Amino acid sequence: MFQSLRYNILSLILLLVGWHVLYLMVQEPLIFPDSTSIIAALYNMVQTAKFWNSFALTMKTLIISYVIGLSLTIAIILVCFRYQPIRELFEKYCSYFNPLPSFVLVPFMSLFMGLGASLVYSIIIWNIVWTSGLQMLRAIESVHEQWHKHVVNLRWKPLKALHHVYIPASISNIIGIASVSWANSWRILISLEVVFGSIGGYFGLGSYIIDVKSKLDIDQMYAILFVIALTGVIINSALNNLSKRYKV
Amino acid sequence: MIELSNHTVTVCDAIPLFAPIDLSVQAGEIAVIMGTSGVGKTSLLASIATRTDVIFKNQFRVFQESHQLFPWMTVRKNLELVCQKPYIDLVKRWNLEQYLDHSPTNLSGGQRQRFTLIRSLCSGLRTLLCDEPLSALDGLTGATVAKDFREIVHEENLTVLWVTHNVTEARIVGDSIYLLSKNGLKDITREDDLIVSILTL
Repeated sequence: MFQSLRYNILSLILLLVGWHVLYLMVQEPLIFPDSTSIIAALYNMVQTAKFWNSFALTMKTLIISYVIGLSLTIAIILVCFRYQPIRELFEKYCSYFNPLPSFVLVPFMSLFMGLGASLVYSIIIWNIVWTSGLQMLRAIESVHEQWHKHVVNLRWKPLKALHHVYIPASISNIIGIASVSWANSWRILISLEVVFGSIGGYFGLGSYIIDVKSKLDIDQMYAILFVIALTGVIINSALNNLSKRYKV
Repeated sequence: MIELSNHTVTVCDAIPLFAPIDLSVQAGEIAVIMGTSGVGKTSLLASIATRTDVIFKNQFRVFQESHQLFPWMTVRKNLELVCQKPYIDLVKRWNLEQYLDHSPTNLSGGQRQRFTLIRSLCSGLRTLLCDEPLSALDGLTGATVAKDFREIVHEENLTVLWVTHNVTEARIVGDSIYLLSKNGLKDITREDDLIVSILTL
């Protein structure tokens, strides 16, 4: 843990030094501001209600859509374990939809939902189900042979085996997949917010970037980017630690 | 009971590991299989465990080494999940009660093996296939557990096929002892010196 913290601090120091060198080379504060002015902008920004409202809205959207997406994926996996034909259908659909970037669905889905929060929810849920569903199914199936033999010996029904053996044996991999899925969802959400700006009354962190950029407040724009990156790093680290803790 | 007739195990495109064997293990009997490493003892157990014909309608359990307890739950939960009969007397008999709420990963190999045996004996299964179930125990503890196991098997009228490399263990636990080799199965129960019999063969 301390080694990880040491590397995090080292990487931040290197980033700051690199940033300052670039600043000195470019000498254009409107495009590439000084790191101290970004830190000052960050300090001022976190004291405003507007920032925290945007942050809360982004996190709320992500958490709701992530929980729905993950629950739906787990429900589908349970059904797949119980019914072989549904499993084969699901695998087929995953092979169709997994390579399809979620973003390309925006024009299609916006016809039904408009450009608001419901579109953001739908795109993220869609992404989670098709990208993580098949991986989770494979992770559960690839548990060590000895646990599989054990289930066969005990003649357990699929759902009991899933509950007591397959899920606990593969929980570390499942959390790892959920972690990747979270990072994907986070990227998609911020991208959607940036693209839509504040259309439809939705004003998240991505919309905040467009707002301050249009006001030429570049320091604050970088400060928001820093917040977005930091939030992603913190959540990813937490999920990775969780994955390591449950490793069998 | 276990009935094998003209049975063999094949690997790599139907190459038989040993000549066809006949074996009959009655209810209440423990048959011990011995043999050199690689001769196919474990494969024999696995082949029996996966047979689905009428003779093998009974449930089987194969125990191998010490990894059969689920490491993601406590020993008590492991036992409760599988045991259909009270297990606590056996746990006390083998001095293991203080480890019931431990994770299997915190136990020694020998403790894990004894808990695995308890789970099998209390599971309600009538036929057990045991693959070196006492390999991690010291001689004295192994002998005690083997003696207790034999008593319980006879009381409960279970059918057991037991694989081991340990001659003393085979003598204590086995009602009949067989030597498996490329030539098939030889009954060596009545041989005075098992080591000499194995070397001779």
